[in-house]
Amino acid sequence: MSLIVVQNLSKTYETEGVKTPVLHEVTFEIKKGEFISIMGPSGSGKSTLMQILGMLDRPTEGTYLLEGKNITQYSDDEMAKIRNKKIGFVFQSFNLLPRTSVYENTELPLLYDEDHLEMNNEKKITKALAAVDMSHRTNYLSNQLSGGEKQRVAIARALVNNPEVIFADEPTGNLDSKSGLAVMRILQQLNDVGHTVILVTHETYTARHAKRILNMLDGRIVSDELVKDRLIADGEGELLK
Amino acid sequence: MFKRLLLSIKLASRSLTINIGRTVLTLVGIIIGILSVIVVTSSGQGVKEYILGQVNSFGTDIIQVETKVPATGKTSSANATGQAQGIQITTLKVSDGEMLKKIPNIDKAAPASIGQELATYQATNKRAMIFGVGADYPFVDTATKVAQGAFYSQGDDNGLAQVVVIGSDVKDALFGDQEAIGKEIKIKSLNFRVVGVAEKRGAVTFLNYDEFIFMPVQTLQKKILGIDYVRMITLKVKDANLIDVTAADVSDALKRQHKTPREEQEDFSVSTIQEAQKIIGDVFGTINILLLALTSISLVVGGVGIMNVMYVAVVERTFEIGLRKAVGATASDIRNQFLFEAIFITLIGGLIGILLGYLISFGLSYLIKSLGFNLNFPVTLSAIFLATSFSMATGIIFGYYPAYKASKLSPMEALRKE
Ligand SMILES: Nc1ncnc2c1ncn2[C@@H]1O[C@H](COP(=O)(O)OP(=O)(O)OP(=O)(O)O)[C@@H](O)[C@H]1O
Ligand SMILES: [Mg+2]
Repeated sequence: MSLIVVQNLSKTYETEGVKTPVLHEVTFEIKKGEFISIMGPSGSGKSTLMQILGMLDRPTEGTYLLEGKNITQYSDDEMAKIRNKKIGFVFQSFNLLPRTSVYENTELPLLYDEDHLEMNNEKKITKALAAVDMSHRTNYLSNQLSGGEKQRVAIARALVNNPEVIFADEPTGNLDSKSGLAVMRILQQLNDVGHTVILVTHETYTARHAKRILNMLDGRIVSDELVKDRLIADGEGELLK
Repeated sequence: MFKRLLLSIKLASRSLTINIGRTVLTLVGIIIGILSVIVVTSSGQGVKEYILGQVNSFGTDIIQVETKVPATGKTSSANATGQAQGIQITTLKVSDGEMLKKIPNIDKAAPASIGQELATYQATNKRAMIFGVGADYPFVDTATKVAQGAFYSQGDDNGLAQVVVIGSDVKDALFGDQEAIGKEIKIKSLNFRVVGVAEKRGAVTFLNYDEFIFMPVQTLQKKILGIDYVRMITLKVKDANLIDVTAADVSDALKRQHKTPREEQEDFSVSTIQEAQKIIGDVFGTINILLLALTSISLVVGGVGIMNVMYVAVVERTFEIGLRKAVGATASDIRNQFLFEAIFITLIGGLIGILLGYLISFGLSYLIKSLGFNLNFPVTLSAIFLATSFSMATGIIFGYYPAYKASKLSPMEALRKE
């Protein structure tokens, strides 16, 4: 069974009576354990699509099934709960809480998870920070970190609740190539242990770290193909690119 | 559910400590608002109690008879200007006092006239108020006590004896540390023997009794002023419960005596302390309302300040709200967090404000007491209640809108802003 099924999905923004159609009848499926890059020029609707898939926004038309369930039936609070349990986000601009420790930033999704006992939190946070190699900065404040470190903490936050899917919208956009590569390596490792990863990028090079690439143009999917010579972000050789 | 609420409380306090600068700024606004309620109400209350206390020191068993320009109200400005322009009412006599004393409930009667003369002892001069009063005076004004010697007698008054009881300031000015009793002072080139020195009284609201020279009223009339009328007669009743009836009796007796049956002919006024208390109470009622209006304005301004700060906080933290929602916060989580932030901050501000207001009122009382006034600024329970409930209300009312606004932000909308 597919993790994500999208059929004829359309999105039109409406601000003060002005309608901006952004997505036009998009249809595709994503299976559990995939690593997908969504590519396309600026304004093509990548972020919009990701936000709908991440349940931060609702489609105007069409259906979106997550694990076989139509999410358009869910209330805002139910959507919040699904975001909390099944989805992790990584954004281009890190989005850490300012003047707040690395530990507390990573803890954030756990706070809103009322089904879990708090005593496991510390273990989960430690594990998540270890996975992004940030254990040594646990008690630093977010503003004392470099960009690459911030993004790694953001990834730790995204995976601390052990989500089904991790969405990353241009996670390397604000980073130098070395830090960017570190982020890609972490995303690949997460995918290796079973997380589905959906990456939005407009760089072909970054996109080729995925297993499959969706190409978008003007709110439509124009191509959908598997990556033949996938890049693996593990070796020194890649750093010298 | 309960756990979620607890989480909001925890997040609210955490956020207040993280954004300590903004927290302190908001606190200052609230503290000033609350503090002003406390100080304004307590000082209003203090002044009111002080003046009522002053009035009460004249006793609740006192009836005051004063001269009045006919066809005017006793407190009217026509009466006051009439008297000030020198319309001298000459119909109130010492004999009226004797007549009134025959009314069964009247115990004492002290007619009084006032003059201002230079008093001389050896080479020392002192300008003093000469208060010509009957021998009953210490009974009607119990605050005037004789420290040394004794007050003169009715016989002294009737016999136009040249004796005086001097106020403590007069004694200090003329005699310094010397004994005054038995000495003679000169007033209008007549010799007066000092028979008593009054106890120091301190400044009363309008008059300084310590600068008075008390003299038999008839001596003052005949030997100094050359008149046969008095300014007022102060009466003391036996049973204070009957004071209103007795005051009416006094009024009737004077009407008969002065042959002024119609009200507009009356050349005297009869009043009791109860009336004065009522008037003062009314005046303070009005002043209290005014003060309250002023503090309300300052509080509303403070409240709008809180709302501004909370509102700015929402705008400033749009991204934080978006992030929290993205990781699973519900609208009510966000609303509660912001609401609790507002409540905490107003509660803390309220407590500090009450405490500071209390200290300031206490300090003011202390300062004024050290200046010689017996003035207290009591912080009343109602002021504390008003301040507390107000700060809570501002927190909830002015905090709710921004909190509601924050909770309604769409997560992706919020995340786009940065
Ligand atoms: N809230 C909104 N209201 C109206 N129009 C919007 C809104 N959000 C996005 N758009 C429009 O939708 C279109 C697609 O935006 P989107 O952010 O999805 O593009 P993108 O592919 O992610 O581009 P980029 O690579 O620059 O991030 C743009 O033209 C944008 O102006
Ligand atoms: Mg985008």
